[in-house]
Amino acid sequence: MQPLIDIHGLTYNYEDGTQALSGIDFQLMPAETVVLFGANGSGKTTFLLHLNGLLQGSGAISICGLEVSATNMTQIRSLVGMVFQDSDEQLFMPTVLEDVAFGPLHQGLSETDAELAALNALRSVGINGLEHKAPYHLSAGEKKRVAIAGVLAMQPDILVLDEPTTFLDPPGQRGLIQILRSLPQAKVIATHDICFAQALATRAVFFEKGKIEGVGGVNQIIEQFSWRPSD
Amino acid sequence: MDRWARGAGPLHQLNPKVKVIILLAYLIGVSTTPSSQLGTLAAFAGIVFIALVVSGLPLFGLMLRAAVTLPFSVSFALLSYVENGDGRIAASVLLRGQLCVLGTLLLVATTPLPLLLRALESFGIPSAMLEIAQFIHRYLFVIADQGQRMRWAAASRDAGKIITKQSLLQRLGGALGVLFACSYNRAEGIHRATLARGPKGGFPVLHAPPIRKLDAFTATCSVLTILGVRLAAFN
Repeated sequence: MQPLIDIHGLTYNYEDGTQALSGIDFQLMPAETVVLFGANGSGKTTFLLHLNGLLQGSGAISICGLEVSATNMTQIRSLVGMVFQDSDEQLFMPTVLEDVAFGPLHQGLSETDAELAALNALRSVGINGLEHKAPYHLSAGEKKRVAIAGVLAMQPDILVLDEPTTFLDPPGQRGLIQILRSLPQAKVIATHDICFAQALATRAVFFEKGKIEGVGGVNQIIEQFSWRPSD
Repeated sequence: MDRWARGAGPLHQLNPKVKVIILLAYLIGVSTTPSSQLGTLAAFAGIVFIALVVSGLPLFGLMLRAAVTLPFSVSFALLSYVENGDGRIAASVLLRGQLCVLGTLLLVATTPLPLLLRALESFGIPSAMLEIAQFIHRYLFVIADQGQRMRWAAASRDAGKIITKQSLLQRLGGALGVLFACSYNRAEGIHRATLARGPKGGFPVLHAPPIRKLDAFTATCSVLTILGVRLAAFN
């Protein structure tokens, strides 16, 4: 079976010369949910930004068999739906419906189809009746769900989520787990939330100083790197 | 205002481009009326008042928002009075300023922002300028919230100490610096999030309304009325 994400030797240096990623090899198979663990600044977010072509380091990255390059960028960004840590940065249109329809409209869908795609995506994350609300009037949990709807409306094959439980209360986290469980896409999730990872992930990867230091089951990685708050 | 703009009154139904044309005609009419013709300005006030009533918007709320610019209008009117010593001129300065504000508010309060920006774009306003306006509208609230949290954070650690003018300015300077840096970082985040959804430039809107016969008729009648009121002043 062909991996959805296939990365070999990914290395990335920031402009000041700091090495953020070093020789990363990673694969994501269909229907898999992989969580990324690691300390702040270990390279998780930098790694995620490469999956969508927002950063481009050296090494080979292919998404669904397509090389991540400037010529394929439109397709890559339709294949990989990225949900950012701070929903306020992601929801930039004046209303919920317009924000969710932003991606489909740019994919070339007609206004009617884009609206339909947006409404379906909102329904799939349990948002009803908020279509014409301004995003800044929503709760943190609602914003997160709308942000997910914004990428689902583009019908991606892969979902990438950066610290999705930040700012969410326990009911919000439970709701998010239920939504993500119901979505068929393969997922890559950077998180510090162990319970969240245990509830969702089939595999865990541990980042340390820009390198992958461990790959395995979620509990195995937690034990191996003493990655519990109480340890 | 956003909530009002999503209403369903008769003015909400008008095509945004038509509303922009009518407003432009109104602003030109009001601003070119000679100061001596207070009667003409009163007629223009009547027009905007009728439009306010027809719009179905809360009259008091709209007046309250228009009053925000009152200190500026009053200042200009006073300056004019000091220079000319003519009460009529001062009154006309005040009236013209407030009528223009009310007319503009009426447009903003009856037109959702994306549709308004798209209408302005069709009149040749640079899209970069309109995108900036849209982002300011969206993120002003977020930045204001952040400023409020910083104010609370400062207050919670000042141990009830009386704040001197100097320490207040120091705080304010620091807070503005941090807010600027945060806004810069946020702008980068927004740019990344926008790119991640594969934009091809601009902000397309859902279902931009077409110009109907009723819109064209309303525009023609409105512009002719404004022209009539304005020209009547010369006769």
